[in-house]
Amino acid sequence: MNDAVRQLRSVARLAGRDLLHEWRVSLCLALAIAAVLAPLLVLFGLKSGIVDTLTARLKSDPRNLEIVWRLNGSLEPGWLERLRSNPAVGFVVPSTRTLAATLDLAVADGKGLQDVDLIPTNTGDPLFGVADAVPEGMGDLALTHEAAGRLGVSAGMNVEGIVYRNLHQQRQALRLPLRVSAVLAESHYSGWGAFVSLPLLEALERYRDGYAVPGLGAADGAAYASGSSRYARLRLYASSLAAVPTLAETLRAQGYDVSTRSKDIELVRNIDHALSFLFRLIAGVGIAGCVLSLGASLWANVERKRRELALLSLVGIRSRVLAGFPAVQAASVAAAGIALSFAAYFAAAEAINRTFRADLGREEFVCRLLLRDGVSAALLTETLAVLAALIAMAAVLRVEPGESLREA
Amino acid sequence: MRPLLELAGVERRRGEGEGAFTLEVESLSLREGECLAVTGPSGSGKSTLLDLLGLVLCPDRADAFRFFDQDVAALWRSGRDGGLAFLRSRHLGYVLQTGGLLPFLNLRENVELSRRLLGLGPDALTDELLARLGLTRLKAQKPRALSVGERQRTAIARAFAHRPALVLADEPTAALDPPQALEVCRLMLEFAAEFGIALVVVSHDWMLMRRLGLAEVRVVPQAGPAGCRSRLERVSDE
Repeated sequence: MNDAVRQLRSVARLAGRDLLHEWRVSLCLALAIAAVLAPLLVLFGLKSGIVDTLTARLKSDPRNLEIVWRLNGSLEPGWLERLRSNPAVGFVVPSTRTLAATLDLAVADGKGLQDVDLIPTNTGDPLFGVADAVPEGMGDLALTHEAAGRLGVSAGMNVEGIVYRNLHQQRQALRLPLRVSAVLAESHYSGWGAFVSLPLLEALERYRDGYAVPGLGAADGAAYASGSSRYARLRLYASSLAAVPTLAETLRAQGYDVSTRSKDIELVRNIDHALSFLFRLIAGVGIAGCVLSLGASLWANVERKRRELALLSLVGIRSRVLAGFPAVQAASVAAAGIALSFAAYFAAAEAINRTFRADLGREEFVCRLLLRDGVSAALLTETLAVLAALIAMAAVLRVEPGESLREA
Repeated sequence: MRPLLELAGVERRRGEGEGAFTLEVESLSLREGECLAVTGPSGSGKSTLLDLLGLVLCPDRADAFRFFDQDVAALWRSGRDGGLAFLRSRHLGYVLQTGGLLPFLNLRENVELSRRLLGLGPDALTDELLARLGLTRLKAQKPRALSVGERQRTAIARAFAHRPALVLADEPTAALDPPQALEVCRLMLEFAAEFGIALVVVSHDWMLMRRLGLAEVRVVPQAGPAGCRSRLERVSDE
């Protein structure tokens, strides 16, 4: 065993010395590998870069995750619970009413907004940024960028909310002191809107319906008999872009009319598929040619070096160990080819990204290769190179030690 | 004492059609440190004999074939390369017709090839061989930069460097001029005697072999009913 390991190490060393001795031939083989591998790396980098950037842009806009309820339904709390436990669901909050409830907003210096849509929210709402505090309980609301701008308020300031109702032929108004917990990013919601917790929304709706709402300080009106409430619609967001179409399909199959921004997602996915197909096609043709030419070169090398290999066999290297000679050379040449390819790739990727810098965000790339894909490419190249050496290895096994003794 | 090498009833057929012949070794033995010249006309089977002794050619028939207490015939029958490869690497040294050096190693690395393969460290013997063969100043050169004579001397150093039991030399002087040839053969005999290594030199130059005073075996081809058969004849000193 020890003996075989020592022989293998010797063969590896001799194979390496031979490559260095014939460095011009070795360099040509490495360049031939790089000539195929480098463009493939750039192509793959472009594919992942473009698709990742488009996907990231889609992802950065939470509205792409939204599944919009087009018609009202009658949704039971139990059904809602089951939906919430679906892993495809990222966020869901129900609302009771068909039409959005509204309220008026006023600030101390006389500015005000009328009929601002009330939108239910809860923790985990994807429209809220990481730093934005989701409104909780009866005293908070969050404003859209436009609404906050019109009122001239920012997070932490107070506004007054006013809701009107007609009770016993009287117009009543409820004035609520509310704290602005957050102002949403402009890109996340266009228009005026006030996000409130579900309990506050339900309380405001009960008030408008003429019930007494002690929690809001409205004692007037009939007592509300709490029963199992059914919901009319949902604000629903999928957990990921990939989950959007399947979740929408599931809901449609249950008879709910929902819509998504699936066209944008579909487009990115089609681009991904088309680029992947092109990549596989080009890679297949290139790699097949490269493996065949490398295999032929290695085989020719063995035939050219028959006498030297026979000499090594003569001085006692077992033929099965000696078969490692072309394999070691293939692996070394491939390693050099990989190094050249990555050097070429990084230069090309830098040039490409620089060219398109103006159209890109700070964290965006047109051409980018993930470490994982780079490592896979290197390992695949090594494996194919050693496979290409199989014919040469078989040729080594046919070398007889006696061939070295005299000229053929 | 048992002989180092012992052959009895060994046969091997070589070649096709007109040039085909069978080499027959009725009996041949070699003691440790013994030197032997094998002569004969070209095509008679000298090289076939050397290939058999060098454990690179499988005999068609062998009543007995022992080398270094190993049954070579049985090793051939086993079909595995390992046992023979070990015998070749440890106990045999080869001097080839045209040097047979590895072009990618320098002179010293070529000389130490067998030692390295056996896992043996550097040895004063290598330097001594290089010095006595006049190769010391060339030890960093690649074979390409050496003359034919220098390459042949390098091959001799390689064959002896790992102290094998037997060195086989196949026409070692074919590419050399007569004075060089004599010098090279003398050095081989000197090393063999000094280190107790047996030596078999195959050469068509029987004049040279006689001048060296070597015991001689002649390969004699004889036409027979079943094609040409070559036998070994011991040439007695005159």
